[in-house]
Amino acid sequence: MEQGRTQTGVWVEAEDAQPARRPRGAFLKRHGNAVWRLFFIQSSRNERTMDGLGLFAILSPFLSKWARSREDGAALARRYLGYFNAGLYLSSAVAGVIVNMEERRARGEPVTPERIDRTAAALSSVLAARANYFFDALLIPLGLTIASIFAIRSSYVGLVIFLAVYNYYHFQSRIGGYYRGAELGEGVGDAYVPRLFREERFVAGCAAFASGVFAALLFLKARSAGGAGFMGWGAALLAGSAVLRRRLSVVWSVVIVLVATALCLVIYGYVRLR
Amino acid sequence: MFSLIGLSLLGGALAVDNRASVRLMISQPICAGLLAGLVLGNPVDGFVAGALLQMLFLGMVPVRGIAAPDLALGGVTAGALYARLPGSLNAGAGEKGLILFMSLACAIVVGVAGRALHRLWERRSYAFTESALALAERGRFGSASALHFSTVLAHFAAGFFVTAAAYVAGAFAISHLVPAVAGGWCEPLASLPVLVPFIGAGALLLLNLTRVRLFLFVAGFCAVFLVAFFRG
Repeated sequence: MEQGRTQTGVWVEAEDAQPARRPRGAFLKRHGNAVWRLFFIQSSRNERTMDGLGLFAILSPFLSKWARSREDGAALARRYLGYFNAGLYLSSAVAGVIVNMEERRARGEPVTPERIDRTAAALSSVLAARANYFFDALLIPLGLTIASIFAIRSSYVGLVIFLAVYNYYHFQSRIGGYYRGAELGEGVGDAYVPRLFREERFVAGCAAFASGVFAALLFLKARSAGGAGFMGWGAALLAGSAVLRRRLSVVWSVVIVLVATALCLVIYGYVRLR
Repeated sequence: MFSLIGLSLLGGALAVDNRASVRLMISQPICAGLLAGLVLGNPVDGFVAGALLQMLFLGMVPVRGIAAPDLALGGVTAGALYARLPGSLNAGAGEKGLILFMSLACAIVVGVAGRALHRLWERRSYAFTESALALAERGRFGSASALHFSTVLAHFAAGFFVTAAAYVAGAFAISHLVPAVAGGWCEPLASLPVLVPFIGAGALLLLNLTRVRLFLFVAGFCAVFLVAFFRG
């Protein structure tokens, strides 16, 4: 074990970031005013400071307690109204870490503003990358594929499954992440981050398998609707969509394939009429 | 009129879910279409249109700054138009297919317009941060924070008005176009719901092109055919 670090249960933490575990009820009473604000962090997102104003709004219930003087308050405001971009899902954890460190600074512990900024910046990039990959590239495509599989059969069950699974992870990341950040401070980097999204590979596998199931069900449905001709048409659409998405933007590829499909159907109808 | 207000309120609420980062995912088109259908008293057709729009954009991963369309507003538009118009126009199967195609086209246009509107917002909304900084430097943290939350209202208003405009314009255009041009030639468009999802399947295939994931994709594909084969 590295020097200056201690083992606490399953957690490995920096000695100066020893967590003081509090009951969750007391935590909510103390942080409740910040927790609901987490859900609007990107509302004022802009190209220059990204979510700086959103972070400030989360921290604002604490700022007057942390500021030792009017000048100190203005300095805090300038720091937290600057650039901040930690993605959506784990920006809460970074906000929690900032709250923890600022509280310790306000209590007179040797935590400098530079150290807080450095920690927040380092955590932001790591957490944003991990959460974006897990949610945007794995979990959401998996959930929507399941919803689509059920939708083929005109069932809402898949939609309910998608909303339940997604929001389980979503709330765990946003509220749980803030809780962990506020509890562990800098220790979150060692104690929380390695345990994040351990089921990543499993979810990726499920997403791939579900995609295959979805494609196969489409072929079966096409066969029952229009025989082998429709199956061939579907295969052409599938291949065309895959090729176009590699070369064009999502919207253009969708528009081209959708219009081409409708045109082919119309021409087929016209020829049949003649 | 009540349905228009209901739809606009729904559009505003879903815009808040999508743009103000609440992200409960009720703003995904498959859910937005169902909700729009519920508002108009036809959840089944609303769900069909929303699900098809969702399937068109399956496999879209909004990372690395790609220009993702505003599918929340698109989903409401597609669901509302398809839930309302076939009934009011007494459409047959072919005409229903044409209405579905036009609803999806309107939804894509609304999605692209919503995205452009949001890009414009992101370029200009730094003004809120500047004003908040001026307030916070005077110690008015609460007012500075309130400025941030006022942007939620801006997202709601954008969703409200875009949905209202899209629904009115889309319903007007489709209800005039379809009776004028529909005929026997559009009968095959009834097959659109069978073929459109293949577009999303292609994107999903592209998303799973690594060796292990491609193997699992093929395994899922074959498993369904095996089950279908043994079930006759």
